Amino acid sequence: MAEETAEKLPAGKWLAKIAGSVYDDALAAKARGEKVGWISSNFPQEIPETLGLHVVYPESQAAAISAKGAGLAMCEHAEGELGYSNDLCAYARISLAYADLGKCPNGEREMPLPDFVLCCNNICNCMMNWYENLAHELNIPLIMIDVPFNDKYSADAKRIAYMRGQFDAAIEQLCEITGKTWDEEKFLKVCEISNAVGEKWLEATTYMNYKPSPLKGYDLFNHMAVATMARGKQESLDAFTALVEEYKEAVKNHTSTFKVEEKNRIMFEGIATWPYLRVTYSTLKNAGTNVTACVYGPSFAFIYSNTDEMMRAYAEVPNAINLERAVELRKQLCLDGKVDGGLVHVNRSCKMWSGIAPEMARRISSDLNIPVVTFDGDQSDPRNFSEAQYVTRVQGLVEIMESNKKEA
Amino acid sequence: MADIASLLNAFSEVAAHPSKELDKHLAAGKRVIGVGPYHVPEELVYAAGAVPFGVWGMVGTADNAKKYYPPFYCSICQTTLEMGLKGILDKLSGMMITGLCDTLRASSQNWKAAMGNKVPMIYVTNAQNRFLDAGRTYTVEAYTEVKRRVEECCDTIIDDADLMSAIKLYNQWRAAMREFVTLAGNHPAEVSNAARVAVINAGYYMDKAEHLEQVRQLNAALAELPASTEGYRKVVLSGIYEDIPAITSILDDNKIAVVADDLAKESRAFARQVPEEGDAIEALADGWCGLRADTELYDPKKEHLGALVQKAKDAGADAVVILLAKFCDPEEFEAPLATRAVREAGLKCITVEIDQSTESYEQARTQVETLAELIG
Repeated sequence: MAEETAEKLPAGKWLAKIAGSVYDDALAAKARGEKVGWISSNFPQEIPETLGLHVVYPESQAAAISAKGAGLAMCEHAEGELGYSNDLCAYARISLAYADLGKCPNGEREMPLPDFVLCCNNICNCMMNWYENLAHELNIPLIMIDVPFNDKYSADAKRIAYMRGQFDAAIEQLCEITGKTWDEEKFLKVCEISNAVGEKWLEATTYMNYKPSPLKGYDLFNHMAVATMARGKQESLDAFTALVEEYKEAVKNHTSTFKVEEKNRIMFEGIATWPYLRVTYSTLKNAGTNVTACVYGPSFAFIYSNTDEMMRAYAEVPNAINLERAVELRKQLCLDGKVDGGLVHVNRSCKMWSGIAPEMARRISSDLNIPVVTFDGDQSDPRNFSEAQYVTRVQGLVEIMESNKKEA
Repeated sequence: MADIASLLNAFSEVAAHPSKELDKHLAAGKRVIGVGPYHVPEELVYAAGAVPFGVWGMVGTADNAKKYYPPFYCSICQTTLEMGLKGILDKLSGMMITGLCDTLRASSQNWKAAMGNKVPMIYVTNAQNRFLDAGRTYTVEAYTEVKRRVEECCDTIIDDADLMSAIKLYNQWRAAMREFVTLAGNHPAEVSNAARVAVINAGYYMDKAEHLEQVRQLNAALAELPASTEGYRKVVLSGIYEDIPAITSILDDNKIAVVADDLAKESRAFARQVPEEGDAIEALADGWCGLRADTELYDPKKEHLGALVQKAKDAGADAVVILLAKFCDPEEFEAPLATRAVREAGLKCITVEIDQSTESYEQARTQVETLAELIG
């Protein structure tokens, strides 16, 4: 019955329900006495999914907490009670605060405390230190799959072999911790679904390429939760399939979730400023500017046909690739999304991403001959964002884009 | 036997004028390869007949490098690129950069973007999961690639026997440096903190054999004297680096004897011992894989915390001073836990924020003065 109800929901609400159920299911599992884990967003989720383990995602939790307005309180707890520097990633600060408190100020996004943590540093190396501290403070085991940053364009054989060795070791360690048994047949099934979900998610994001786009790019910030947290589940595939169908209908009917005339199209680069989603979006919307290119699509679409390719997919996520490939990836998204300009979030929480953002922005701007502007912000710490600066930068970007169009 | 003051003066001269030392190597017909932070297998450079030259940024501000970095960035990365952009490093034949932390990862890309082939980058990748066979194998293959890049930059082929000789020399040098750190801590009247740092920093610029010879002379001279920390406060430093003149002055002004250290640029770097038998590249990888209790390296059981406390106890320290490098993720994650571990062990602990671009350290001075008063 529940599934029938879900199928009648608009895809967006269905996806939100799936995201919520990941937390609910984990809370219920914990209450039943099962071992549950915390997992970084780009850890091969195929492992816990195959073992039937409930895992929750501190990054997604931190994003939800900060979008609901409790980021500051959690950051302040991490800095005051726990002594962490406010230079550190705000996701990490929120997560370490949650590990200490076991709750949010107003129940913004509760999840069970973990019995183990699963870390993969392909998205950033800060993850390694963050998860080490979680494991230490909660006195629980840590499993890490290390993805050394790759200065070359593609992951080579030695990286794939290293990943494979760690993958096998992680399975062994996790079976030991949880008493579960590895089932290769189930693993293949999980991989099949994960691939299909990845492909469908990627397909959904490509509907931004239609002009005008049937969706506002900011929708991806919501939908990506499922691509992050539930990419091994059949229901996710069903919901993303429904989303794609909705986009097709919207294209046919000339409707869009971007409710104003789409005068400009831009690439948004970086993590969303979760505490300021409303103002960052409405500023763009008021200027008729839609996001039609964003790296979030390929970030969580893991497509592979065998285990080595799976290793490669996890080794080649956006923050683990070199500058040249990072630029190429964005340029292709810009071309596909037919953008007029770019808006880059220089995110104080994310040193890896922000460290190459200025050069990426210059190259994209120069190679595609489009204006690209930056703004200062933070994914979760509301103290590091200035609305006035953001509005001014967007105004400047819009002026240049419109001027370029007049000249064309 | 050479007198201690003359030896220390010689080290200080080198440490204060690294460019002069660089020119000396070039005049001797040697190529010079820059070596950034940290745990870089620089034995490969030595075996290539070139000189490894430490580049850990500089005290000062970054101007040109701000084109590449946001303001909230590690000053080592910013000022290293600043040095590159100002032409200070133009005489290097290559620059070795690791990807051990996020800022170094981005720095590798910014170096490549800003410097191009002017000073080519030799990227050094290591496995963090170095307890697994797969991690060791990865590191062996990665170091094989690094060897090849060093050969290209030095226009030579590295001979296995030369590499093993370099490993032996470096093992001796690191052992001598460990001995020096202990001796300096026991002889604060003879070796000030500024002098201690100069001896260590000179090792980043001099030919290792030459530095080893001079450090051995210094060690022998210090060992002749009775150890005494009378009138000094015994402290262990923890963090990345201490070589900011204002910081060493503050320590010296407050009669702080650094009886041991847990600094990346100092004792953590001297901790590595490389096997002296078998395949030389595998030996280098084993040296890396054997490293433990290091904040920049994967430490799933947080062995570093216990090791820091033990180090402080073994050295009879009254306190641990964490020199917290601004915007250094690994250190900033570790500092609260380290502080708690040290205090729970009954020792005092303060955290002093440092940065190569900071102009005023008056707050740090007050912190150290207060600590000195508490120790008595």
